[in-house]
Amino acid sequence: MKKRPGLIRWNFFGYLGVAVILTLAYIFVGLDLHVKSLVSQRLTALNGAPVTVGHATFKLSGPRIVLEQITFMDPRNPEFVQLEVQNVKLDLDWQPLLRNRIVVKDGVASGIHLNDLRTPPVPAPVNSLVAPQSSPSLSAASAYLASPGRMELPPEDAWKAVPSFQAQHALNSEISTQVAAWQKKLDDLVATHQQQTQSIESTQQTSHDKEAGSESLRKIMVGHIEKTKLDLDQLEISIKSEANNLLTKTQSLNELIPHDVTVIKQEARLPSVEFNNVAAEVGAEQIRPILSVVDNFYFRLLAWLERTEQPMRNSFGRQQGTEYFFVGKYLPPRLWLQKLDIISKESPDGKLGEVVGHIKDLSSEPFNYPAHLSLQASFKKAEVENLQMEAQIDHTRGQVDDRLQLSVASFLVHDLDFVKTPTFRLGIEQATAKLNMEVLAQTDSSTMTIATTMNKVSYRVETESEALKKVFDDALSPLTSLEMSATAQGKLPALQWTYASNLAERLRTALQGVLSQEFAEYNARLRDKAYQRVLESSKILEASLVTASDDMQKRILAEKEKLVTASSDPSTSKKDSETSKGL
Amino acid sequence: MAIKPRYSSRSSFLQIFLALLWGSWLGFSPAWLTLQVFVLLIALIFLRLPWLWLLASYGFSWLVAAFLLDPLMDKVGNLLLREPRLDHFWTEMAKAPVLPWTHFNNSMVLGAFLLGILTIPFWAYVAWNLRSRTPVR
Repeated sequence: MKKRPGLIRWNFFGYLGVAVILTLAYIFVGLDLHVKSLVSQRLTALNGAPVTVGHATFKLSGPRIVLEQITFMDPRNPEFVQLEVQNVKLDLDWQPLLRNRIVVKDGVASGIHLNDLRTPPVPAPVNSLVAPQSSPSLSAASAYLASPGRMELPPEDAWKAVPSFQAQHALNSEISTQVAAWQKKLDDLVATHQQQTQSIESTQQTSHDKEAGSESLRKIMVGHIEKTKLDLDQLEISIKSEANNLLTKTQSLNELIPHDVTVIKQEARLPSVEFNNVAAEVGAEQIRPILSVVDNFYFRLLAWLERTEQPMRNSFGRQQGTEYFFVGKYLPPRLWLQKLDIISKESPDGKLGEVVGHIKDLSSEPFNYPAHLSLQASFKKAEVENLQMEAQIDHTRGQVDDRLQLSVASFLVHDLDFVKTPTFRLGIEQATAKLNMEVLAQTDSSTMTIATTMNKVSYRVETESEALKKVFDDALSPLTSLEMSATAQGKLPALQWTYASNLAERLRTALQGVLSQEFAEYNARLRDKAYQRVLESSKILEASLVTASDDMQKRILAEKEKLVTASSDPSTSKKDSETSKGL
Repeated sequence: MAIKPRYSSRSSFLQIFLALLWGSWLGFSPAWLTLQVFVLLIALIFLRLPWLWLLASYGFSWLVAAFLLDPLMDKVGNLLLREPRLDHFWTEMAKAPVLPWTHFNNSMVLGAFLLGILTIPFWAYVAWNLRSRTPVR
């Protein structure tokens, strides 16, 4: 039996040599790729859209990371390149790197290319300090004005809900009940009369003293006939009085016409002409893209920096868990840009912008290190001139004191929509704008002020309705310069916004004018229709009431005539009573 | 009828045990770019371990983790890393140089490491069985 080889491999030099070669190969080849992939992943997580790095180099001397051709895609349109940075050099600190933390002692980013400051072609991001407007009165009014059947009166079914229709039904049933009651009273009267007549006659037949009895019974019969006559007279008076009451009620249906119009207008769902919220509707759409700088800071950058947990994406069929970040007194921040200069010289072809910027102490621990940022930039190709920004992030001593001042002397605005539905689009196609923005965010309260002026404004009104297009064209074409201001107060992130804009005033006046005119015409048609309906209903009811009343009168008259005949010859009363059953 | 073992080995109990343990640690670990994985691989230069057992243990552990144990390891790791009483301990570890490169602050890495430790008796039993049943070449 051979001797067992031991656990320790004493002749490990060959293996060690291979391992050293593999390690060196990784350091010189694989490490750069690893750094490139890692930076790309982290920046993508921060940007919310793909970020690609053309080339990355990690140098052990320094240590230093050099990144080339970093391309940031637009988070609102991931196919669109928003920003490119040609070169970034970051000098790191060894001590934090040994602890898997990145502290940039000194850095330079150069060659900045901004493609465009375009407004989002897709709906606004979910997280925004500007809440979406809940009452889109502009789109409702536009949809109404674009609708070809807007002046059509509601269908017949809709009129069944109006008060006069219900009152008419109630009245109809009341008349039927009343007529039935009259008939019953008359029938009862006739039946009682017959019973009593028969009773008198039977008494006459059984009487012993025929002569004396006949005389007295004739008197009784005459008295009885007189009483029935009186009852019939009273019934006639009562029918006349009640019929008059019902007639008055029928005529009072006219009083319900205004209520009918109100109900049917609700059914037609006409848009409001108040337009109290139109300044907010227009203003919110205008400032949302501008405020995306602040939105991105609060909802993306600060959230990314301050997070203490980061769930990792699954890869190769395995879960990758959650990373936890710990904070300690002698522990450097997870990411700390102690100093980063941004320098870019404008190129003759306009591809690069003129940028001078400084970032100082931007870290994942703003509660330990207050950060300062400043930027002056102009991007000829993107038509952005003289952008100036000063910002501070200070969360030290348990207090928040974030400040931002941003002004842009001139920039292009494209495709800013106030209303965008499948059938209607209203907004600014292109304009030249200037901007002033001030943000002060503190622990208890925050204030924001945004003022923009747009010149050379060309509007976009897209609709199939020529009438609607004319309304907006007439209203907007004289307005070539727009002034808009928005102020916000409150505690982040629930701010109360107030908007003012000459565009909103113009839109409100134009829409109110057109809608008021159309509503007046529509209301008149509604009133006419309601009046016609009530008139027809009243006529039908009156006719049925008069017919029923006349029938009753005729029956009473017939009964009275029979009584008159009977009183002249009481012996025929039996025969008459028998024939009256047929009535 | 006794089953004839088809495998014979000259490896000792300790070599088989370490091969199984190394393999399972590598299999449980969700990522290869951690310091402990690097150390385990470097250790293979100096230690003579049976590759067959190491690869078998690695494959078995990787599959069991991927299809069964990943959620458990993640849960255990999250539980420990979120425990307030251990916060000071983790912070001290984060302050130490090099240690953070083990990615102990990742719930899956920590869970996999703990599971690896808990499986030591199991692998010792398997190694002892293999050694006692396998004829020595």
